[in-house]
Amino acid sequence: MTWTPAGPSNYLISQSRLIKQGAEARVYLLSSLLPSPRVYWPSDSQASDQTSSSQTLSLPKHSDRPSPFVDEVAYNTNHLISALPSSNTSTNSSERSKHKQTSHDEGKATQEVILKYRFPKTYRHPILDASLTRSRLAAEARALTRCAKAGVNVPQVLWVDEKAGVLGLERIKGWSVREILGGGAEGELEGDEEEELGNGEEVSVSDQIGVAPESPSRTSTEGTSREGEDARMTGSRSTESTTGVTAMTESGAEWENEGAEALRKAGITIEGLMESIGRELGRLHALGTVHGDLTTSNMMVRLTPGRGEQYEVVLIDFGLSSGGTYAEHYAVDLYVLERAFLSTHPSSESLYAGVSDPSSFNSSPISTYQISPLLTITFRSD
Amino acid sequence: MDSHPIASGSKKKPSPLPKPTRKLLCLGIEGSANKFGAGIISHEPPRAGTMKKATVVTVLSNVRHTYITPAGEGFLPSDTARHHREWAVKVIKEAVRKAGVRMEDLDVIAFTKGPGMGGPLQVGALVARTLSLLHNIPLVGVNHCIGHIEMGRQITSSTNPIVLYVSGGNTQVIAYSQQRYRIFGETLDIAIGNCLDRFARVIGLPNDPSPGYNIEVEARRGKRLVVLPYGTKGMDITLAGILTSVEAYTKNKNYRPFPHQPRSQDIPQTNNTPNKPPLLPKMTPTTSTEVKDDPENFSNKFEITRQISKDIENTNQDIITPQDLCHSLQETTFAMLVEITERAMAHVGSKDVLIVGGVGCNLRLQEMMGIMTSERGGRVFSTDQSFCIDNGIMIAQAGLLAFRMGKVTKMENSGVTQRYVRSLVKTLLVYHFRNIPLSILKLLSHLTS
Repeated sequence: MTWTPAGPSNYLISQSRLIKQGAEARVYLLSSLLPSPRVYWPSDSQASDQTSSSQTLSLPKHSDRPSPFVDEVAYNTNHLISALPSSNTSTNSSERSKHKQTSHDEGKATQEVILKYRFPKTYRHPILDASLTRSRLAAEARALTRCAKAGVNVPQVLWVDEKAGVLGLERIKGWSVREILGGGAEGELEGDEEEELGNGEEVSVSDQIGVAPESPSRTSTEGTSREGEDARMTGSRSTESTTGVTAMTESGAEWENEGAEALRKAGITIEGLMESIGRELGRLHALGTVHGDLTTSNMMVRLTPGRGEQYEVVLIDFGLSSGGTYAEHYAVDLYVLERAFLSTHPSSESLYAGVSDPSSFNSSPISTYQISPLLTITFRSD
Repeated sequence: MDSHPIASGSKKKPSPLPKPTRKLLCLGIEGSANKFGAGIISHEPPRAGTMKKATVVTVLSNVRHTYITPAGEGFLPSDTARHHREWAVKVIKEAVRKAGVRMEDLDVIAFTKGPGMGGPLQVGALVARTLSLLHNIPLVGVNHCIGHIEMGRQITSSTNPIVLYVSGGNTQVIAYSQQRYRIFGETLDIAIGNCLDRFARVIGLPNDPSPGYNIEVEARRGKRLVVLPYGTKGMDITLAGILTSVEAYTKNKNYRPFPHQPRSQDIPQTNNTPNKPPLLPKMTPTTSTEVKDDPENFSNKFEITRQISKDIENTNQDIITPQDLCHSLQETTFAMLVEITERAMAHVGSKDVLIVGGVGCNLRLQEMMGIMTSERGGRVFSTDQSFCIDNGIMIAQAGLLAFRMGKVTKMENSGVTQRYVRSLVKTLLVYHFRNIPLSILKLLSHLTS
């Protein structure tokens, strides 16, 4: 079943590519919010860029200059953009694009846009669904704007269509922390389970109360096991004993993915990364904002060579964010993160310790009171 | 560990669970909440002459008796324990008789070790210990949650589902990830069943056959959706605020309570009655919430009739009925449950959902979950009341699996525990599903505790 929003957002989505089918929303990648103009504005900076044909106008540079050569659609969209309520679009983006021009070659070429479409959930009551979608989208856009203003690393807001449920955001070029840590095997597990079919147990319910099983033969996980499990277990036994994480950083073979490889080249340690996450969260919380869905998938790492820090942690997906009124709200936020850490990256306790290390929060006023309710909540849950 | 030297094993290994060499019988005794249940299950080696190599699992009997309190009241641990003491022997006798076996034939007795209410748990454990000593049968203590999951998996033949465990005491999303079962999301305060039960008490719905069922029936007639807080925190949910705010609606001036207490006869009987032992001498439906004082009641009734006639005239009125509240409560809380389940599915990459626990037999929840899973190309598995609601057979199933793995609870360790530590649950699950060396298990439990 495919849902499409109405209005101009529909057009944008039709131009973009579906990259992720999430539980909450469908995420599309649009190469640029503006259509490629047929004629380029003749300017000095453009001369060197003529090499790349896929180039489009960079939004902040040209938004205030009416261009006679840009075609009609682009011009109209330009107006839409400038009318957006998010103030960071104009103020922050200019800085960011400046920084991008110095750091990335591709940064100035196109601004790729992530379109986040909250499609209607048919299982929900329509009224409930509509109100949830509207409030979550608005809250997300507001939180992002607020964070951007205060200097927390978040994607820019480029497009807000509350009615259609579409939010356009800057695309962060980098890797999620989850990818870097190599957590959460997805397809792999399913593939394994499929092979266990046909070796299970059969159930027959002789008693009258019993509901007949849906199929006569059943497959059971406990009935079978994979070959090599013992080998894996013995293999992991050695790493287990050396407290997982450090083993991961020490043995080069464990750096399997591209993101981790890039970080390693830049001389960034996992511990350093964890501290950066903690600092970023501290900045977010100091702002009075609670993320609401802190997982390792919702943190991106972007390399920023040429600046003081070699990289920055960018927080994404503010769909469940809210203002925190009590210390407990922040603590729940951290608790959710801890749970996410432990469930997707087993034996990552020492990692999480880096995140919640009070020293990471030193810059913020929450350093003292935040930790104690966190402990209480963690304790309460057991 | 994050990395697996052998990521996707292609060759099969013999099952870690030994195949039964003969027919194994297990009696399961469950009494963690207001139901006392006993069931007998058998695991047999495959019959000779058939092509199938699978173990034959047969439910021989599944008997349960529920302690039903008057409308507006919950069940107290001491009273529930009294009920269990009264019914334990009758229920077990009935289970043994139905199964057509003798006590001496049993290979193992499984009982609920926890989590649950202390008093009622004690009764089950005491009965199990006595039977064990009388007939010289080994004991196995079973975690209640594992019982639910094991039975759900057995009945629905689902291989690798996300398990939504929703009952009066538990609300958890359990998923299989990286060779282990993990709790991905759960309630941060009260359980979903607790929320529904307490709301049923507030609006005066009877506890017969169960408050949740009565809410479900009433909700079908609800039309309006009142605004309730929607509390999802990442993969967790919070329900206490919803209960408070739905209670607040009953004090709203537009709220019209039930003109009379719905009688239990009005409610269609459930279909799993034939195997129930004869019911307790029926408790007289209480009138405590119905009538307060005569004059007040009179004026109240008068007020209602006047109001209703006024409402009929005025079509765009703004009244809130108990049915509307039931409807809104179900829609909101179930949407939250489905949402966190969907999150876990997206997170783990699993397609199937298995709903277990008492609230799991709610058809609206099953329907909503079905819509969600079908959109994701998966399926939803659910069982009916005989397996969803606490029962003895699930304890028998989990107990027999543990027994086949060589696990026996010694007499001195057969105490009960009201709170089963979560990490212990995980470890036990691992133990059930994967034959992992004990040294690793100890290490894992140490890491997660």
